[in-house]
Order: sequence, then C-alpha cells, then structure tokens
Amino acid sequence: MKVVSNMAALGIIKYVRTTFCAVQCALTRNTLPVRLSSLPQLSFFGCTPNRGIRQVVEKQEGKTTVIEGVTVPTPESPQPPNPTAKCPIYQWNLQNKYTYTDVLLLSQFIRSDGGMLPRRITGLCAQEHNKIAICVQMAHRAGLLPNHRPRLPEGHTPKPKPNPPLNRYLTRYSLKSVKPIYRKGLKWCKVRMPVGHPALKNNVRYSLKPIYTKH
Amino acid sequence: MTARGTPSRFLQSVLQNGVGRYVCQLKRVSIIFSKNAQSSLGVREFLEDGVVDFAKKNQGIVVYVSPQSCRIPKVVAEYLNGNVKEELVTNKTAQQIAELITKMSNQSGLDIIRIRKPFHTNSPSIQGQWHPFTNRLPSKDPVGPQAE
Amino acid sequence: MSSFSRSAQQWATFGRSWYLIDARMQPPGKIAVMCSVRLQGKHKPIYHALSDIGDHVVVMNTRHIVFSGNKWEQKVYSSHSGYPGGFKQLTAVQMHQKDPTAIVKLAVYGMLPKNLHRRTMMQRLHLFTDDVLPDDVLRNLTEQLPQPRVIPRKLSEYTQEECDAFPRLWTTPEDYRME
Repeated sequence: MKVVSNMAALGIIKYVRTTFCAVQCALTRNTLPVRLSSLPQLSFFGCTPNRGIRQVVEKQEGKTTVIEGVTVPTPESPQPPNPTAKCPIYQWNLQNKYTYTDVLLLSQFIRSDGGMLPRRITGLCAQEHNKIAICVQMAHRAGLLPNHRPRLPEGHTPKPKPNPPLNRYLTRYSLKSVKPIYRKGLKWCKVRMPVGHPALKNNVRYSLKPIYTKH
Repeated sequence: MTARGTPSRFLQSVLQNGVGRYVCQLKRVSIIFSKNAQSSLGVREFLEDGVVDFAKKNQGIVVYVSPQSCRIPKVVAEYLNGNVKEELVTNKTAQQIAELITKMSNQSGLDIIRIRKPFHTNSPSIQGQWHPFTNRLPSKDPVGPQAE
Repeated sequence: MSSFSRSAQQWATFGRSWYLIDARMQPPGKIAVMCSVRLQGKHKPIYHALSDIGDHVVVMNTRHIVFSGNKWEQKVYSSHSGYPGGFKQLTAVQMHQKDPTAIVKLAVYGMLPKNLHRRTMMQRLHLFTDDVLPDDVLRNLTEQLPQPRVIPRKLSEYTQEECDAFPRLWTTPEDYRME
C-alpha cells in the first residue's frame, strides 16, 4: 500500500531545469517524441508541486510495532504546455495522439490491478476518459500490460493452460462475447469483423491511407 | 509459309566493315558465257566494254572469263566466307550485268534471309546483367534465427 | 563484358534465392503479401509471366502470428470434402490449434494467382512453426526480410530510465490511497 501526498513547495529552479533537460533528452528516444516536442523551455518559474509517495514501513522492535510513512521523493516533471486546461490530456496537447501502444501514458491512469483510476482523481474529461479506457482495454488484450493483472486470492495457483495465449491487437470486444461468423453473407453485404474502435477514428495519422476498421 | 518458319539470322556485320576500314568480301567472279549464243549477247557486250575497267577498279577481285558452249550465261561470285552465289544473266544487257556485278562486289556474302531484329549489339549491357545480388550490400553474416 | 562466362551469368540471373520471414507478432495477411510477390518472382526486374523465376520463401514462427480485432474467434475457414455432409467450418483458433502453419498457408494460397503454377509456387513456400530450421534450409538462406508490422513494446520491456523520462501527466491529490 502506498500513500501518495502532495506537498506544494518551491522547487529550486536550477534543479528543475537540469531535470527537465534530462527529461527532454530522454524523450527523444521515447514513443512520443513529436507529440511532446512543443514543450516551452522555461515556462515554470512559478511554483511546481513537490509530490512524494509515502510508503508504509512496518518495524517490529520487541513488542512494539512502529508503522511509519516514509516519503519517497519523486523527481520533478516539467510543466505542461497548456496549464490552463483541466483535463491532463488537453494540458499536454495529446488529444487524438495516443493509442493502445503508448503504454507509458496509459499506465499512469490505471491501478496496479489494471482497472481505470476514477475520473474525479485523474481529472480527465469524459471523452478522454472513455478513450483511455478503450485504449487500456486494447492494451490489456494485446498483452502490453503484463504486470497489471488482478491479484489472485491467497494460495491460489492458476491452472496451466493447454495452449499458449494467442497474439492479438486492436481487439475491441471481449473474447468470450464474440461468436464466429459462420455465414459471411453475400459479396455485397458481408458481415464484417470490426478492428479497433470508432472512438479512436479521429486519431492523428501519419500516412495517407484512411483507417479501415471493417475487415 | 509463315515468317517464323523461314530461316532467319540476327543482324551482323563482317569484320566490323565500315568502322575505320573496309575489306571487300568478294573474292572471285567467274563469268560463264557462250561465244555465239543469242542469250549471251549482253555478256559479250559487257566483256568488251566494262569488265576490264571493273577488274582494274577492284584489284582484290579475281575475274575469270570462261567461254563455254552453254545456253544460259551466268555470273558466279565466291566470297571470303566461302559462300558461292550464282546469278543467271540470260538476255541481260551490258548495263544490267555491270550493275549486278557491282552489287555482288558490295555484298558481304552472308545469306540473304529474314533478319530477326533490325538492330544488334555485341555488348547488350554496360552495367552487367541483373542477378539476385545486385544492389545488395555485401555481407557474409549467416541469415537465420541461429545467427542472432 | 562481365568477368565470368555467359553460362555462369545465366545461372546467376535465373538462380532461385531463399528468403526468410519472421512471422512473430505479424498479421498473416501482410506475411502473405510478401510471400506471394516473391513466390511469383514479381520483385525481380527480369520478371515475365511465362518464365518460372519464383523464389523460395521460408516463414518461421508461424505459431506466434497475430490477428487484429477479434478475428481469432470471428474468422471462419470453410472447406468441403466433396462428399455429402463434408462441409467443414473451423474458426481461426481451431485451425491454429489443429495446424499452426495452416493460417499462413491458406493466406498465401489465396493470394497467389489462380492458375496451374499455384501448386508449384506453394511447394517453394516452407513454413515452420518455431524458429528452429533444418540445416539444409539454413544453408540456402540469402536474406531475411524486414517485418511488416512494428511490434509494440510491453510495459515490462521499457527500461527504468525510459519510464522515468516520461513526464507525469497529472499530479495525484493529497492522501489518495493507491491500490
């Protein structure tokens, strides 16, 4: 269990700047280089919230048990380019720019068991929350979040599966709800197999080909 | 007969004639005629008028004149590549025979048959013919899953 | 003229080369596009429909192919044996469990031209379920083709520096119990 607290404190500007430079250098290797390259260089002369995760540490000394919250300081992160917006996606100008493969982004909005964090905590607007939920679902089905699984009850070992799990991506529906299409229909009115999700159809494309969701 | 069934060859030149120098391909001409036959009248006229001039002009060609008792006079041309060509000159005038012999001396001696293409080159490709390894980076690394 | 003789030139030009494709996490359709082009020989500048110059293609890891959408459950492979009652329908999952190479094979077979050369070209397609290839195949390989689909990285495959370098998009409010 972790207790995350938020302590507002004035960060040392020099320290913040150096960390930000390091962040930007690292960002060039990341999956979102284009999307975050529009960050202003020196926009955070104001106070940045100094956050810290307090971890519960239990110490046993004889008969007394001391439970203590130790603050683990986290490094500073740069200020978003659009801080006036409410939704974090809009703050970072990331609308329509993420998909199911951006697991570093998606992992910030999920709990350790893989479920979505509530909207009142993350501050996402309803549309973006919905889209992130869809992306998280597809990432789970594609196996991109292997460690974010629901915790098994104590002493329970999962049965060994006879066949290895099948690889899939852009999976919209849950695996058990889908039935095979035995009757495909005539040539001009075929039953299609949907790929991806229509909520993500406005995503930024880097090719001329339109997104084709009906296979 | 269709064009495909006829004998054919590719366009070629002998000894690269015409590129820098010219070698006459006609080796020997025999003019066979009769001294008194009606059909050899033109040949006899040609012998009187033009054959000496022709022989003087073309030093490399041997001209044989053989009177025989024959009805059909002919001109037999032998070429450097061994081809022998016979032309009948029955009832031809001296003018026609002179033209015929000039034409034969200009020919290369190759068979006059269908030529498959009106163009030909001895070096079909300057860059070299394509093979699967052209435009590919040379590497000796083994390919396959075990290579990694 | 080239440095080697004409007959060697002829052998070099018309020799069949062997290509290797890694089908791990690749959709079978995109694999089949690459295969069918090379099996027909259409990638060569000397291609002609009447000259039989198709290459050999080796596809490995067909057990680990990927399908987009819900095609593993929805896609159906139909066949008819010709006898009454011989109509069979298998979903992609059943087909894959029955024969891990069948899906790629059928995809390639469907993309080849429907003529008498189709079976000949299919004989030049070598499918392997895993990345263990026999030695006589390995010796022939000349080139490994790049994979058509970029495999997305799992969250566990990112290094700690990359995770730290990614900016925190939102700040957690005070005293929220993370689970």
